[in-house]
Amino acid sequence: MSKPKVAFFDFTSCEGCQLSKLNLEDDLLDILELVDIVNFREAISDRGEDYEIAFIEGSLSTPHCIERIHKIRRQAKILVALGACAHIGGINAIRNKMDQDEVRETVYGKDKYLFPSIKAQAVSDVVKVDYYVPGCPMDNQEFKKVLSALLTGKIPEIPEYSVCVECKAKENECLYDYGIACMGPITRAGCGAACPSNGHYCYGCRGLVPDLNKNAAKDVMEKYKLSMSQIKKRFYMFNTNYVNMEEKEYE
Amino acid sequence: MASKALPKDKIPQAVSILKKQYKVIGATPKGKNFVFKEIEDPNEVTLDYNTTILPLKKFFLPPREVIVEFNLQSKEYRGEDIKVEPKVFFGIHNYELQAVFRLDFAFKNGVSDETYLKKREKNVFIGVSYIPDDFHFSESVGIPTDLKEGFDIFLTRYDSHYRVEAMTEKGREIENAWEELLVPCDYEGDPVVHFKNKLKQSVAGIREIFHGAYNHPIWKETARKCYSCGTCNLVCPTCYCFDVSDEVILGTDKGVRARRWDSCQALVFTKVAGGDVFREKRYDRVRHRMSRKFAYIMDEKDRPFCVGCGRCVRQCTADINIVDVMNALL
Repeated sequence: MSKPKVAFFDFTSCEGCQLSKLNLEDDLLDILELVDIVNFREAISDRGEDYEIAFIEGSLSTPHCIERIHKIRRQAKILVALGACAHIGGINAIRNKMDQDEVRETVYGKDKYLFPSIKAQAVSDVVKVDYYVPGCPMDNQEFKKVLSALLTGKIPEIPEYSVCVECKAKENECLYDYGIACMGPITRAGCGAACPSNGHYCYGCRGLVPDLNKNAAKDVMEKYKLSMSQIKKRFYMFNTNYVNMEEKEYE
Repeated sequence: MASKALPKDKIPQAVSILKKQYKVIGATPKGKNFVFKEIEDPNEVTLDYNTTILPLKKFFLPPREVIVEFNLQSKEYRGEDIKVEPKVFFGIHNYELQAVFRLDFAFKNGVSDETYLKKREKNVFIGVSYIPDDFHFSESVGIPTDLKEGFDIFLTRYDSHYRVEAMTEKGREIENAWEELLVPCDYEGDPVVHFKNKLKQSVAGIREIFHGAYNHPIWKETARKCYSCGTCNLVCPTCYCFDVSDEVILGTDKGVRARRWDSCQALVFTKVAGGDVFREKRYDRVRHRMSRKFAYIMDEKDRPFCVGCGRCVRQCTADINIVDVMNALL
């Protein structure tokens, strides 16, 4: 049986998710036994265009991105979004709340017309995404689980419950006990509650749980005397694209 | 009546004596809260605590546990190798032990769960009385503070000492081992304690009320506030639902079947093969949790599966109070 051909592509991102693959030093040789990597800009110079599984890193933020992602989608049998930018737009989406012309001017100055850009979008806003490895940075262990499931013909599963589930299982003290607004109750688990376990509130980098309750957020804000702007700031870190969607019901 | 007591300042010594024969598990402070853990330093254990973040279930049903290791190539599989060590649970509130008995019921009935039951062997329980805080409501669910059922020794708290009552053979052995620490004391009955948090009526009739409450507005009102974060299930001493998953280790034929605590409040909990979701509405799930505590299992056992520890109330960020919900029905 020939090995499945795999490609990695980067879009608007810090490229850290891709780079972290190269940190899988103990497993890299095993992985190469199982798959042929044909395109991986950060690791190899080949640029193969024949692949079955495409891993996408980064959000889509230029007209060129849109063109490229369609081309990849046409080729790939399976498309997996890696990391927060590809999954939910992530940090890049912070600028979506600003005046787009001003943003371009700040970055490119008088050359702004040479660099057309659009609002930063998740990959799934443009093409069908089959599976996700969420998070910023994405977790290599979860990447291995997803890859292993794909190669054994299973559906890769990522948690659909909240970070609280993992946080409670670790018996952490709840940050709300200390009056700290934490995104844990509404953020998708899978990180092992990494931030709350290390003394920081959850940033929500793994995206929101599938059935967000907007009303509950209002009540909790009231209880802990948190302002709308404090809550919004928490959302803006990774979930800007979703605040826009929900804003009416929050206010 | 003359009785024996353990002076408060002798507790570390009492723990040291236990440690010679047993693994000792007790409550220790964690920030503003408390947790049960294996006691390394006898000075870290406390008998004066309200409730721990997680209940004792974590020792018998760990948050995540490998139950089977398998090999796809050789088709071999092997269950978990459980080492049974004698353990003393020191300073346990009575509702906590009552919850363990309810878990025992759940894991013994039907197909018995050996992985759980093995860990319940060689357990010794030393109880301690407590003063209910704003959240405890055990008395309302049939567990008054002086209930000592199931303990090997019970320590009743007074100002300067704990009255020691051995109730089993194991308990008497421990009392003898503590002999030189104990002092005589007078016993004039257990102190009377009151609960601030309580149900409007006794548990006896709850089941019937529940059966007529399927369409009560309280489910939707509660669901409006609920995040479905799952905290109430995770911290509940009688919630035992778990999810099982198989994982093959990348590049090998080896894999594990593991189980982890699950929450019936999460939407995904009700998702079944084929993608159907049988409790899609949040209020369906809220009602389900309450029904599990006060109706379904009561039908079988005539005791609620809620022991009134108040953890789900204390730890709910959205301030959902199981007692208020129940009182709306009563």
